[in-house]
Amino acid sequence: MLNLLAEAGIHFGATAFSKREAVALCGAQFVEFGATSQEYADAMWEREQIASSYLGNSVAMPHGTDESRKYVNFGQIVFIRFATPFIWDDEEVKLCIGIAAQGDEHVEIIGNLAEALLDDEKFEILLSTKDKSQVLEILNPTSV
Amino acid sequence: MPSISGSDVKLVVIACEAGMGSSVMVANQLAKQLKPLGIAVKHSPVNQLESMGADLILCHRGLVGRARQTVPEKVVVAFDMFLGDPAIASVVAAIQSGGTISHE
Repeated sequence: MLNLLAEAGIHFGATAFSKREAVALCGAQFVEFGATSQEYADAMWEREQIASSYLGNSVAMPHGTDESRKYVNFGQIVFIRFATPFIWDDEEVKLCIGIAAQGDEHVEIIGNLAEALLDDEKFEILLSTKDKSQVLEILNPTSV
Repeated sequence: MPSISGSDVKLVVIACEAGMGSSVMVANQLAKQLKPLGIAVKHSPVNQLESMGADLILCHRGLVGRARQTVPEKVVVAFDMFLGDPAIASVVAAIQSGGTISHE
């Protein structure tokens, strides 16, 4: 998969009951796509022990450690929205944006995400749309 | 304790553990505010801070100890939130007005 974020990496209505399950879901996607090895997925959980990747606005952004970049075969971003919010430390999470990056290839998409989190209209679309192309238009417009 | 005048800041580096997630998000937001002032904003993993040549470092509170250990001579400002943190807003204000920035 050449595109960092594509429809295949966008999921609505996923299920997780804990932070651990949610992080594992993101990691499993990377492994399934061949973007990373399992070592990277494991490092994502390790990273959460160092500092939570909770961003605010019920969104978390799990990713690996600096050390684990070597397990990334190609950069990939996954968008996983949960059918039911679950507790992430003391916060409720509805959406996880998982990141696997070798370098800075993902910086533009993260910038678009930051903008969307500060824009009520775009944020509402990310939380409620059933149309994957709308997510791409907001986060990865150059791919549409 | 190190301090720096806002007018001497030419390069701000946002540090996080991997330099992959939160630092990217904060750097992106900050660049929008500081680029028009001719100030560069970069992001970096904490353990590579030494080679970044930053005038000022921002990092999440949980990593501040490590960052200050890595570059003890630099001002490292802690923030708690990745979006809209008041500590980041006051750094921007100090850079705009030439005010003094120190650890807290």
